[in-house]
Amino acid sequence: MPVTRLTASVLLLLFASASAFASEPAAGLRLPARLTAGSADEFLGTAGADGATLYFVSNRNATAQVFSQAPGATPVLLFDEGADTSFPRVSPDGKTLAYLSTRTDATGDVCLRTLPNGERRCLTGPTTSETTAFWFPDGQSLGVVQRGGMHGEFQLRRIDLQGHDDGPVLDETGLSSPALHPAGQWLVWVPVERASQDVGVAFAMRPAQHLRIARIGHAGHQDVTFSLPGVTGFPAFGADGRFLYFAQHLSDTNQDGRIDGHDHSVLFRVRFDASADQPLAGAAPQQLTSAHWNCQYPAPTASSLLTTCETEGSLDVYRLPLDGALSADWSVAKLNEVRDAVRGPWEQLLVLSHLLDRAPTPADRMRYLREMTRIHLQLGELASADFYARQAAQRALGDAAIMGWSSVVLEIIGHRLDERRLAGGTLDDRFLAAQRERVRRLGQLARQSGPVRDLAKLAQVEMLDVMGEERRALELLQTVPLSQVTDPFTLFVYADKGVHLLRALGLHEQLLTALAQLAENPVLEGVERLDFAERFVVELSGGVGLADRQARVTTWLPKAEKEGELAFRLALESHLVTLNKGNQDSVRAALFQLYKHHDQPERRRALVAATSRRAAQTDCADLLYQFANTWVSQVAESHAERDAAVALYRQVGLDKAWIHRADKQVGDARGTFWGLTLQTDDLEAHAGFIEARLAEGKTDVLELYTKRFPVDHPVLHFAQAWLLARDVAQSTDASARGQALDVAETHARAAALVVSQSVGLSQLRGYLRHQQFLLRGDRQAGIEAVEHYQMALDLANGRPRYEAALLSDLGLLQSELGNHALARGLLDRRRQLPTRDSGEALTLFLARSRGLLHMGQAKEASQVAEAALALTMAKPELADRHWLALDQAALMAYAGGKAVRARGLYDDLLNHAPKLGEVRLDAANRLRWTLMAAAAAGRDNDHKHALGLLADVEKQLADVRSADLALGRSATARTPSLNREDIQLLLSGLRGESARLAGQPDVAKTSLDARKAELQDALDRTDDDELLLEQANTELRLAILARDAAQPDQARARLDAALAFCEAYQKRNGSIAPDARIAILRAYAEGLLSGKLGHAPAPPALTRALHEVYVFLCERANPVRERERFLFSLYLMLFALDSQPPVLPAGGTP
Amino acid sequence: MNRFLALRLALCGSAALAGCVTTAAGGGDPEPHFSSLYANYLSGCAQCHAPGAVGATSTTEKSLDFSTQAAAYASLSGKANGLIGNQAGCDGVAFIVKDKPASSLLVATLDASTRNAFDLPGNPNCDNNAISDMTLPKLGKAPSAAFLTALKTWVQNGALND
Repeated sequence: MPVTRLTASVLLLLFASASAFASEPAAGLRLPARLTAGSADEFLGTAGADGATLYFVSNRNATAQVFSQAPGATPVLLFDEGADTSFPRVSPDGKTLAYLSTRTDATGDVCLRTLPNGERRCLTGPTTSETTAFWFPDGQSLGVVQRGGMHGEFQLRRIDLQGHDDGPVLDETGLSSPALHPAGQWLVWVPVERASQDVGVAFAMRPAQHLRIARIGHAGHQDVTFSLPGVTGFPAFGADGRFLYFAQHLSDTNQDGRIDGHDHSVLFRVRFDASADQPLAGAAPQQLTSAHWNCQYPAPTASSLLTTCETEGSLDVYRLPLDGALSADWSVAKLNEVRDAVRGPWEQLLVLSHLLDRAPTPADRMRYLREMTRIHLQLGELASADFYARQAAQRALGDAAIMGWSSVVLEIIGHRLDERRLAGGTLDDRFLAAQRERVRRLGQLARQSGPVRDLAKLAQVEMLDVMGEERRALELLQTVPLSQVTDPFTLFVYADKGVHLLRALGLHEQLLTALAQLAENPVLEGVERLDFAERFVVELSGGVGLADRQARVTTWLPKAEKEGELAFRLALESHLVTLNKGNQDSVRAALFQLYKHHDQPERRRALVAATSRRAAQTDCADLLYQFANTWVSQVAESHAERDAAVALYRQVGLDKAWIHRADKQVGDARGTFWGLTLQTDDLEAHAGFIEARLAEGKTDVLELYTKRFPVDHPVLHFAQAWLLARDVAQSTDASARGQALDVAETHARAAALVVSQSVGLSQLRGYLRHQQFLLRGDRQAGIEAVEHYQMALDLANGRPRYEAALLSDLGLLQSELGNHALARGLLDRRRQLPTRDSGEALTLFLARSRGLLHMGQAKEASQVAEAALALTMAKPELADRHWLALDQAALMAYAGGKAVRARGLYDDLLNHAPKLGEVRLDAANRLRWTLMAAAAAGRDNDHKHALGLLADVEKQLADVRSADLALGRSATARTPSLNREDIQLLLSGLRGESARLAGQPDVAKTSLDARKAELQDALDRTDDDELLLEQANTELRLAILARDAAQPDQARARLDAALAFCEAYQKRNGSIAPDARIAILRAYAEGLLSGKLGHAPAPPALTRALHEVYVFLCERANPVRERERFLFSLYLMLFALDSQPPVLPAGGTP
Repeated sequence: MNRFLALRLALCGSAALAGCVTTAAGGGDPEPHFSSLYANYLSGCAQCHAPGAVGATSTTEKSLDFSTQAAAYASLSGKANGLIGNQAGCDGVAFIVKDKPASSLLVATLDASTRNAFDLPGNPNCDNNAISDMTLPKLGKAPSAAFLTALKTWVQNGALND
């Protein structure tokens, strides 16, 4: 799919017919409204006594901690326990928080704190293990699930606020997740069974699949098993006690053949009559959420249902209406409307579960059961499919067709389970025999007449296909008269397995014919026929060029039934197939005629969906906007489609505004963004407006916002912070930047007090902290910037513009913080998204290159830097950044060992880099480039040239002011600049080495002696441990000079000094510094063994150090250092053997 | 050629004109007088429909001006100008047909039932498919039922500048 400027979220919206927030009046499915955000898990949400303040657990700080969050505000850590805490429960009077703590007891204690963050006191001690606690209605005691030690049974005990144990609440043991009715007389829990009588419950327990209820103070209990597939857990009473909420692992969502805690969870509620002896008798559970959302831990308040749901692998706390995603007040007609509007299979199942509950006739009930079976079957949720197929059979009341249908379906399920169990997918004899037996049994069913016959044949087709008997399967398939099939279930099975077989056998025309017949089958509903028509067009268009696609549509169009769904979809395709940016208005006109001609809502929706999809793919924003507008204008406010239509319209508007901006139609962008700010509170629109207005050269932004919003309005704070942030970015005055940042952060914090869950605000706050980090070197600000960016990234899910910007920001920040592996991961993710322009692409190249260098991948870093350089050469608009790319490419070439290339690039910089208009900056850059050119020349063994360049550096260094050096900036503009001392150190080091290799030992010695003094000076000034290793290295190089000058005593003294520096380094930070020490020890040992350091015995300090490093190399086996390990063993052996060591072969001296 | 009709509609800039409102000026309960209707809802349209309006774009409907009550009345007395795309069928159609709220484009843009039944002899292409909804949640603050009633009554009563 080509990259276009229309976001992928537009396409997602086409099929997401649901309200964005459950709190909004919703015409369709009500999605859970997210209350928490962040890259960590936020879970176990519960409400305070006011019903509004949220308490939840988060592991954002690595341990599980309890946070509170006022409505709309950002969360606050309640206390730092220094250990995992969980299950927060607020007392009925709202003054005390009970929670589980592992601070002094790893198996859990029940502790209390006076809210908001009072002193801690615990009610239980280390001799018991606690897993759950809840408040009794009097607020004077808690129910605590406790066991004595690891192998004790779970027991529910009542403990008062002084920690006195009032004894067991129930006679029985083995329970979890207890819930107390608000009136205090009923308890509900999940029984826990020992998996083995011989093994402690801690090691081998399993929750029962049902709930158990008991009246407190009365003997006995009732087991409650709902008529649902799966496992029941986490019961919780509603505030008024009229409903019991619970979580059900309803479907086998992970397709392992079992329904258990590893599958997605769904919330239900069921009526509870506390006055009855059997409070749940006859009550039917009402499904509240879809399996898609995976929600658990229901915590109802008086007005809403809190729950923990999983999105993108992260847990967050959400809120739903008490009656869940579908209003309890909706009629069957409304439910059917919602069902037509939702497209996801789990959402379909959710609506079907409600329709099933309200089915007016047995026939309707059977129809819904069969549909639920079909969808579960298609999803591969075989255990659930099995449940509903059996339910249908139980209700068949002797209906042979239903019984036959059920038998076939159970055979299909059995076959698929058998197939799933095959090891590695390899067919074995046992499997084949079992399937042959199934095929035989199905053959008997296929002798029946009507729908069962066709379904049985299709089941046989599937099995024969799996068994490798495709031809036999095809023969059988061809006996199914598709156009005469009248059972929708059978038609869907044909569309699934029959079409699969035809495709596998390459029978494309037959496949198209089958899909055409499905798309025209009158027993299906219009929306279903349209789905098949869509599949038909996909198959028709797949893998062929535009002209062929057009020809195929033209061929098939006359064959389609007039005014049918297939003819409609082909007519639509005949226009869409020609669509491009140049003809979008004429295509629009044709499509609008088609739209007007077909007034069936499902067809119009299909037209809008297909048109939007194609418009997004071809970057036809005008066309997309036209139909998004027409569609939203047509769908009634009360219709289930309305939410999706509005969301599509707004998303398209936002895209359009940004496209205007990118196309430099600034006035249109400004006006469009302003219009969007009138529709939503989305801060992206405000940011877009501010930028566009400023780009117009207007200075009235603040005035406009001040007029429109009250002084404390968060949007006004946001606008003020945004404007200040822009000033920061454009100012070079550090003091002014600092002041602007401080004020901007004040505004941003003020906005955050009111607005939570805003990606735009989190991004801005991240940016401001990021700038603080860069400006003041405040690392804590950098860490906080990471948190804000991550929060924004979490919230930006499905908004590619934000995601792209945030991945860039976060990647660059992590790189600046030195977290190069993290930076690389983020920038790799960023690469998957389009760049805004070539400038952004260049920034990302440079950042990536830098990250690779820091991760030790210098060659790859050089390749990326070269790509950046090539980009600046290919794009005229990047001409002013060419020298930056050149600078980085040169550095990376040097680091990557490409000395010749580095020399060439530095020559380019020295000879051709444009003047930057500021003498001091030019001087600083020139000095740095000359130094690097000298280093590259040295690495290229052109030492005389290197020495000449270094002399030039020395001269420049004398001329340049220290303050000006700070201006010298590499391509990585945020890299700290080199100061005079740094340059002097590099200069003396490079000169020492080049002079030695150029045969000028006196110059080398002078330079290295100077370097020693400079290092000592720097060490005195900074106390930087690393300078000790630099000293050691300098001593080593001086030792080599002395050795080569036949001054063995001096050489040994230098090496002793080098080892002393290494020891000092080790004393300071414990590191053995293997690289530095190995080089010194090798030079020392080999010098002694070869006689080049005289014939002195090995000093004890040498043998001791050799032994220490040898042990280090043995304990930390590293193939790269295997040679050294061997050599060190040899040295030690030789020194131990003889005080007159033998002469080693040549070549061992560095 | 006005290529961005739909965009303009987002900015409340088409023949459908009143949606661009979040800051209705107030004015108490709406009454079937233009001054009340303007104060209650229509003044907010000036954010996009006024000379130099910050919400205007190059594709905003050309004739409407809500910057003052007088300008609004004057421009609403005219016809839609410059509509294109799916809304082109309403170009040249009068915003208000005195005594006939069901035939007034202004009413149809704000009221779904009027829009759905819109049938203008002589302008068959200006039907419910071609008229944009300009109300919340699509655009801004939705007019209240009382406002819509007052608006229709005002048109029914001759759409006076009262």
